[in-house]
Formats: sequence, C-alpha cells, structure tokens
Amino acid sequence: MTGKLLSLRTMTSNESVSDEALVLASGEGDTTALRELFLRHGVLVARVLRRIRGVDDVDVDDLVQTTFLEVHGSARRFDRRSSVSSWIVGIALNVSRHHVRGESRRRLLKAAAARMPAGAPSPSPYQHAAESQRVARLLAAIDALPEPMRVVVTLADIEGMKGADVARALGVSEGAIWRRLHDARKQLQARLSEGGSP
Amino acid sequence: MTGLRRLLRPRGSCPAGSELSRAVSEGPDPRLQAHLGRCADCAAEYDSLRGISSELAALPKPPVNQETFDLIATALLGAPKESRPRPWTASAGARPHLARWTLTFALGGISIIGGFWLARHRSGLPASSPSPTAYAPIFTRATIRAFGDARFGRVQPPPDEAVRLDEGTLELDVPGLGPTETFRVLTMDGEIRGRATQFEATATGGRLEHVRVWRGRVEIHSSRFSATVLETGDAWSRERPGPSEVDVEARQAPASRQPTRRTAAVPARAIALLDTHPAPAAHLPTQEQIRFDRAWTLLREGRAAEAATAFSEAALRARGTSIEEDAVYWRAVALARSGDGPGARRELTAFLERFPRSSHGGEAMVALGWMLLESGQPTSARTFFERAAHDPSARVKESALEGLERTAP
Repeated sequence: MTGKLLSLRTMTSNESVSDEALVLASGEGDTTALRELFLRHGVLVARVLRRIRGVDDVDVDDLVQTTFLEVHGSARRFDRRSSVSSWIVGIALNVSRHHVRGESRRRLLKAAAARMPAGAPSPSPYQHAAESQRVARLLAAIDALPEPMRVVVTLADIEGMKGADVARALGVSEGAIWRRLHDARKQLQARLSEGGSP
Repeated sequence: MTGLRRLLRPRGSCPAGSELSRAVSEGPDPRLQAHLGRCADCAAEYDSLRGISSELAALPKPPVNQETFDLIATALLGAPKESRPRPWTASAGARPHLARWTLTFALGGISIIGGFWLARHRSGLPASSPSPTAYAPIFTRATIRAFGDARFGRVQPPPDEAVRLDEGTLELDVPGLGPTETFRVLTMDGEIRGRATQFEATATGGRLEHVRVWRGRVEIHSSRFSATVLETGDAWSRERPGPSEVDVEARQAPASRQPTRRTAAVPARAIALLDTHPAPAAHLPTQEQIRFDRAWTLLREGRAAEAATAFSEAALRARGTSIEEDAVYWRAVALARSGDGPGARRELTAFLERFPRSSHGGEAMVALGWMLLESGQPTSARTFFERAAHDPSARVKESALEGLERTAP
C-alpha cells in the first residue's frame, strides 16, 4: 500500500482558522473543516434558501446539506476572487435552482398546488412568527417579487451582503445588482403603499 | 412622484436610481452626497429607499432548527473524503500556469519526502509499514492518519470523542486524556477505547478486522466477540483473537455506560434478550441514518429515555425504509431499558404486528413473553413463548423454552 504524506498539521482551535483555510482543508478531504464552514455559514444558507420560490421549508435542511457537500466537492476550485460566504451562497443558489427545476419537484409542486386554496401563500413558521401587520405585509410583498429581485433583496438588504459579493454569488455584474435592487425596493414601496400606512 | 419628477429632469442632472440604491447600501460618495444636499427630489428618493432598506434589514430572522443543524453537522463529517477530481485542461491560455504548478509540485515533493522521513523517525514504525495519508481533523484530540482510501469520520466531539471507521486502516495517536474524557473508534460491530496510546485499526465493510497497538493499551469491546485488552506490541485479528482476551466489560465499564434503570416492570430475562447493541447504519450520508445513529449513541451511553424519543423520531422520518424497522425495535428496547414496562410492551406488540418477518422478531416475542409473565398474564406470555420456541437463534429458543416451562399449565 502506498500513499502520500500531505501534511502533519495539528489544529486544535477553530477561532484562528480563516474561512479560506477551512475551504483549503476541506478540499484536502478534511470533513471537520467542512463542518466548521457549515457552522459558520449554514444559518445564512438556510435563510437564503427559505426565500427561494419553489423551495419548501421541509426541503431546506436537505438543500443546506447538499450545498455543503457541494462545497466539499468544489473546494479545490475556490479561486479566492470572492468571499467564502458569497461563494457558498452562490453554490446554494445553484443547488436550489437545480432542485426547483427537477421533474419530480415540479410534479410535487403541482400536486401541492392542487391541494392548496387558490392564491393562498404557503404558510411557514417564519410567517407565523411575524408579529406586526407591517412585517407581514412586507413579507408578502417580498414573496410577490420576481425571483431575481427577491434573491437580490434577500442577499443585499435582509442578509446585508455587499453588492460585489452578491454579484459574484449570482454571477452577474455589480451594476445589474444595483438595478435589480433598486427595482425591487421600488416595487416593495409601491406594494406597501397600496395597503396604506400601518 | 419624486421618481417621476426625477425622470422629467434634464438627463444627466440627477443620478440613476440604481446609483441611489447603491448609495443606500454602501454609503454615498462625496459627489452624490453633494448632489443630495442640493436636490430635494433625490434626497427624498434616497430617504425613501433607505427607509425600505432599513425595514428589510430589521425583518425577524427565520428560526433555525438547532437539532437538525446538529444532525447535518454530524452528517458532513461522513462526507466522502476525496473531493471530485478536478478537470485538468492545459489550454494555451493556461500554459503560463504550468510553470507555477511545476514549481508547486516540486516543492510539494520535497515536503512529502521530508514528511516521510519525519514520520518514519517520529513514530518508529517498521520500515515495511505502508506510508500513511496524514489527516489531523481540526477538533479531534487525536492525530489520525488514514491509509489509502480509508473511509471514516468523527461522529462525536470531546469529551466523549468518537471516530467512526467504516473501511480501511487508521493509525491513531491518542494523547493522555482527562478523567472525564474518553476516545473511541466505532465500527458496526464494536469499539476500541484507548488513552495515551498509539494504535492501528482496520475495518472492512464496517466490521473490525485488525488492531495493533504500537504504544500503551487499548480495549476492544463488541457484542459479537469477547472484550479484549491489548498492550504495547499486541495485535488482534477477527480470525485470530489475541492471547490476552479477558472479560473487561464488567470490570472496567464506567457506571455511566450501564443501563439507567431496571425496575421490576421489565424482567431481567427480557432485558438480557434485548441487551445487545444495535448495529449502526453502515454509511452516514442520509439524515435518516444519522438520526438512527444518534439514537443508537444515546442508548449506548445509557440515556435510554432520550434514546427512545430519538428512535421514535428516526422511525417517523425513515418511514417505509429498513431503518424504520430497526428504529421501532430499538425504541422498544430503549423503553425497556429505561424501565418503562408498559411502554416497552406496547412498542414490542406494535413492532411484531407491523414487521412480522423481522430478524428481531424472535427476540421481541420472547422479551414480550417475559414482560407479560411478569405483569401477571401467563396465558398471553405463553403464546409468545410458543411462537419464539422455533426461532433459529439458540439464545432466543433457550429463553422461550424456559418461558414455556414456567408457564406450563
């Protein structure tokens, strides 16, 4: 049996390890590094996925897991041109697109839609937890946005990611991000004003 | 209306809407700041956009299911060790990178050779030993080196740290641990415990095949073979058990690993039949398997009541799969170990109805028989003893025959 001695590092503290180092270690097969990446960015990924149209709450956990397995598989291709968080969010968005496009997924959605009253928004714990009417209206307005705008609003305004990172995550120009964000904000304002002031 | 007015202004006098949006998110540059100071329409638009942006940022964050996140975190430890192969293409545009890669590989080669030398001299391994692929997970107390395509993952953090070995060979260097700390290597059919030791473990198909101790002492525990203690230089193989085979389970098992409560509601005979460890699922990737393994770990730790709940959840999530059958059975076992006799009887009955052809059927029937006998229902108990008396397992058959003798009219 032959093999290669790749490294003999001993890292015992997670505090000093950068995201980039964790991606590098994950690329070498270190699953504890992958786990740490998940602990740092998993919540963000879950929150973003919850905002993708066609992704049910029950699917989010599986998609989060799939995202990080993809991160593990793609770690060697991380080129450091973007932050690790935007790179991971980009992977999550690709995973969700693939999920939503799947034939079986479409069949499930069709069946689910048939059971739901027309126009009823899909209830979620998040929506139930919305305390004020204003928040509820804002959430409904976000749900009504076209998908590209909704994703940009989620990443830039709700999650506070920088425009450049959002652009890299989505694979579009930064100018396109600001245009989408502007259009989205205007549409949200319009929808909120339609319902009157709180 | 401000937007309309801005549109009707001469082109070029006001910034584009997207520029205002960028300024809302990342702050206005001096030029825009100056413009906002003298253009009321743009200032109003800017404030309006900033207002909606602030509202969006203040939205309550969706809650995260911590338990599910823990499960995913554990599952990721079992991710395939090798990432997918990188497509290597040497296009004309990539040629300038080749020199850099060549240099990198040359330096890597020097490191590898140096590493070999260091490893050989540090560990004192025999010259014929295979060269390891070094792997030091970030949060493990031990240094773990995997040989070849070993498949393993850490399933539990310190203080009761556990590494699961599914396939291949690991060399482990375990430091001296604190009094409340343990380190274990788990396989489907057993576990190796050690501290301040260096040893090598090999598994095939999730089953422990070979253990060799280079330094210190390890204990091998299994429900399938007798517990074994190996000292420095000792080796153990499945086919050739080591000479120092002793029963250390009863002598050295920590109190925390004993079943928590065994009350009169669950007779000892029933417990004895149920007192084997469940085999964990061979691979970790699915959440159903992870849930089952988590419940299994709780049961092994003696946290029977928690294990019962966990098995219940595992069964629910794994409905229609083979994991469901195991989870339902082990839920009954966990209830029995927690002293919940009525609950265990109810679960065993439900299990036998739902999975009449299960491999656990004999054990379930005879255990149920002893529980019913204990609760004053000899006739019902006898029915189950009769059904279990033809079980292929000698242990089950023997217990069933004893039950029949006890319930003879």
